[in-house]
Amino acid sequence: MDVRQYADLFLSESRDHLTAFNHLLLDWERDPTAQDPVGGIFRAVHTIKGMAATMGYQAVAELAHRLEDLLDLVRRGERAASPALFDLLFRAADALAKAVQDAVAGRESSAGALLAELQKHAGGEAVPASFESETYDGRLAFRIDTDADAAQIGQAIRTAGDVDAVEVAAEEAHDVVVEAVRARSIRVDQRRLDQLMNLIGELAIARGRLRTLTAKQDGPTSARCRW
Amino acid sequence: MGHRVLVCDDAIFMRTMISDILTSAGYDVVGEAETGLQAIDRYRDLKPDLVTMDIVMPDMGGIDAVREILKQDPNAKILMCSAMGQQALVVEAIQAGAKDFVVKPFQPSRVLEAVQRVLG
Repeated sequence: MDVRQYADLFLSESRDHLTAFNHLLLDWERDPTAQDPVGGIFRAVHTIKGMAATMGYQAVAELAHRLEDLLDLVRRGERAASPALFDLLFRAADALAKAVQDAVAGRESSAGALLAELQKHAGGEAVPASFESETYDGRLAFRIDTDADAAQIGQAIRTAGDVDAVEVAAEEAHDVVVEAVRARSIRVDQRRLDQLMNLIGELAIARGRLRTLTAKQDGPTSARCRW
Repeated sequence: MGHRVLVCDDAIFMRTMISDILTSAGYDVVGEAETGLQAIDRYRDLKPDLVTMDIVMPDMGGIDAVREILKQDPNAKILMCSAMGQQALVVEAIQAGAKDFVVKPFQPSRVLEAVQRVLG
């Protein structure tokens, strides 16, 4: 059986389901406690998955599958309908629409980062970061690229929160060939170091969680989640 | 004379594909349904020899529709169409009285083998 004859049908059906997906998502966002939208979105994604698999559109099927896994968890109450989740779902809907178009047009499709994100949300339990555990030794270390001097940095960190001691060591900024890396160094106003400290804290939490998660899994998953 | 078949799936794409597979093998697709409720009504009206039933449908799912149809007609021959990873649902469907199942994505040969098995 040559499935190519069904490509137009696949496209129009998928578009209908994608439209439903977006409408339901908007409805649901307005009332996150509502139950009906999730079921509807799940079915729309499930149907797209089935059709894509039949057509041999692996990229679409895989994306739909991951989305389905996450939606199933939400449907069963094992994931909260948070603003972060809605943001992810809106982006996933766009990615799915693009994947569908790419597939029908015969283009390569890549939703790698989104796939990893969906899997993280679906597979991730609340794992405590290293400094939430009993054995945390109370030390946090990081690098910062700045024009401020040691005294200014030390002062800013000491006043940032519950800090006993600060050790500031200077390191030569490395000369890098790649343009993009050079663009990443910034001037930091001393006053902004407070804000930066908060953000770094959050980053450390996320990194710790991710490390722990990838340490628990091996094989393809940890290869993809390389941070 | 070809056997008469009712095709139930909420996606036009799937109904079209299944119908094409069946029609080109000499079966007579006498009707289609998009939801479990429609499946029950159409069954009552058409009394087909065989039903292909999608497991996941809005309104009323495939498994409930199987139960209702069998109440109407205990001899109904129903073939479930499931997606990968729905083993639990398939088992439930068989326990509810479906005779067999095929998994998406469909291979025409598998579909036709299953149809022949169910029709006996």
